[in-house]
Amino acid sequence: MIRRAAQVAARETWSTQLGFLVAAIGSAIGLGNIWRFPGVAYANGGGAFLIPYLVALLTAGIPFLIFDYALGHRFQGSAPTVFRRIGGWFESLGWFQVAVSFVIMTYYAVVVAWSVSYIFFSAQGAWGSDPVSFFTKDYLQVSAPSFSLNVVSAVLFPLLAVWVIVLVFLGLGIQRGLERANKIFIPLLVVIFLVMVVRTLFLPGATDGINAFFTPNWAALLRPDVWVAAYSQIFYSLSVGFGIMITYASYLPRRVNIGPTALVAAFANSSFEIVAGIGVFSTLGFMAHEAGVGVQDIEGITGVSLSFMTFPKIISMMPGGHVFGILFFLSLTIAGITSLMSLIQVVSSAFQDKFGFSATRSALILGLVAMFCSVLFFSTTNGLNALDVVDNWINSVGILGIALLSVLYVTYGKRMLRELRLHINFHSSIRFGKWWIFVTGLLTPAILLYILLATVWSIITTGYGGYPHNFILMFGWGCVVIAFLLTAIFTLLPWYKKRAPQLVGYQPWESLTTLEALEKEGKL
Amino acid sequence: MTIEAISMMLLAMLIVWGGLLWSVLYLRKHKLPDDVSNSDALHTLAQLGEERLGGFMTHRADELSQ
Repeated sequence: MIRRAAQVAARETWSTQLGFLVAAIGSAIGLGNIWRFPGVAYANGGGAFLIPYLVALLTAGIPFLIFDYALGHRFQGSAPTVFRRIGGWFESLGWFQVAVSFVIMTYYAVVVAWSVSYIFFSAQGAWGSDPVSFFTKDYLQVSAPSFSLNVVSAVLFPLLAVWVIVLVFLGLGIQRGLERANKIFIPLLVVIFLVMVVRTLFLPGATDGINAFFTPNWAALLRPDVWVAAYSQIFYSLSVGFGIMITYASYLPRRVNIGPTALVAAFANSSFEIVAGIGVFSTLGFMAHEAGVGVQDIEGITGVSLSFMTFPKIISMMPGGHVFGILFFLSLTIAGITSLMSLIQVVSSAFQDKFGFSATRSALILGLVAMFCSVLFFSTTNGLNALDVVDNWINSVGILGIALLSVLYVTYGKRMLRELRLHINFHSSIRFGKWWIFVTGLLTPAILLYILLATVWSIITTGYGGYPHNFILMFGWGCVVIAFLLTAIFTLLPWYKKRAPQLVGYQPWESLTTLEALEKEGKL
Repeated sequence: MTIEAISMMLLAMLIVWGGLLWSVLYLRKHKLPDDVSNSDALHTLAQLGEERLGGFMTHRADELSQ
C-alpha cells in the first residue's frame, strides 16, 4: 500500500474529469476538423458520406478511443511505459508512437505559425488580389523540391513564438499548464467559430454551398474508397492510435467514468466537424455566387489550399472580410495550438517517465530539439514541399502502421482485450459487452490493414504529388526511417534508475483476479 | 436547398449533436461520488480485500523484471 501511495504521488493527475475531457476534446479538434473533413466529405459523396462516417465513428473511432483510454488508465504511464509494463521490450511500440508524434509536431507548429502570420495579414489585406501568389511566392518563397537551408524569416519569427507559448504551458505541468490552457482555449475556439459560422450563413450563396455539401450521392456508398476515406478521417480526427489518448488517460485519477467521457469527446469532435463543414461550404457557396460559377467548379477545397489560398480570396470578396479573416485564422491558431500541445505532451511524458526529467526540464530540452527540426526542415523555402510529403507519409504509413501494430500486439500478442474490457467496465457506468472485443480486436485491425496496404500500394505505384523520386525518398520514406531509428535508440537507452523499480513494482488500480471475481458476481 | 440535402443535414445533426447532448447529460447524471463506498463494484472490491491481489501481481512483477 505504501508503494501504491508513492506511485500515485509521483504522477500528476488532472484536477477534474472536466479538465481531462476538455484537453481530450482540444486534442481531437485540430486543423483537420476545419480544413480536412469538409473537403473529404464533399469529395466522397457529400451528404451520403455522413453514413460511412457515422458508421466508422461508432464501429472504430469510439471503440479505439476506449482502447487507448483503457491502456493509459490501467497502465498509468506514457506510451513507452504502458507497453513496457505490458510486455518488456515491446516498449518500442510506445517509442514509435512517440517518434510519430515528434515528427508531426515539428511541422504542425509551422502551420500554426502560418496561421498566426495570417491573422495579421488578414487585418492588412496583405495578399492583395492574388492570394495564391502571395502565399507561395511572397510569404513562403517556395523553391523547387529539394533540401534547402534558406530560412524564411517571415515564417521563422512566428514559429519561434508558437514554440515558446506552447512550451511555457507544458513546462507548467498538467494542471497548471495543459489543463488550464485547454480550459481557456477550447471555449474560446467554440465561441469564435460559432460566431464565424453564423456570419457565413447570412452570406449570399451560402445555401447553395450547404446544399452542395449535404446533397447525397448515393452511388458513392458502393465505392470502397469512400468507406476507406470515412474510416481514415475518423482515425486522424480522433487522435487515436499514436499515444495522445494513452498519455492523457494516464493522468486520470482512479475514480473516473471512462465510457461516457469517451462518448462526449468523440461526439464533440464530430459535432465540431459538422459545424466546420457548414461554415466552410457556406463560405465556398458565397465565393461561387460572387464568381458566377457552381460550387463544384471551385478548386482548392481542402488542406493548405483551402485555408491559405481559397479563404483569403473569399475574405477579400466579403463585406467585413478583415474581421472574418482574423476570426478564421485565430480559430486555426487555437485549434492548432491545443492539438500541438497534446502531441508534445506525448513526447514530454515519455521523457519524464524514462529519464526522470521534470515537466519543465523535459519541455525545455524537447522544445529546443523540436524547434531546431521545425526551423531546419519546414521554415525554409522548401518548407511547403517538405511538409506536404512528410505529412502524407507520417499519416499514411506512420500513424496507421503503429495503430495497427499496437492493437495486434495487445489483442493477439498478449490476449489482453478481455482484461481491458473488464477494466473499462469497472471504471464506467456504461458496460461494454463482448462486441467491443470484436470491433477492437478484429474489425478495426482489418480496416486499418486494408487502408495501410491500399495507401502504400498507391504511393509505390503512382507516386505522390508529382514530386521527384529522390525527394520522396528523402522526406517521405526518410521520415519513417528516422522514426524507426528514434524508436530503436530510445528503447535501448536505460531507464532512469529511480524510475525503473516502479516498472517492476507497478500495480494496476485493480488486479485481473479482482476484476474476474467481480465479473463472476455479475457486476462487470 | 433540396429535400435530400436538408434531410441529410438534419440526420447528421440529430445523430452527432444528439449523441453529444445525450452523453453530456448521461455523464452529469452518473457523476461519480467522491465516497468510494457508494460504488457497488468498489464496495465489492473492498470486501474482496488485498489478499486476492498477491498472485497476479507477483506474476506480473516477475514477467516485467525479466
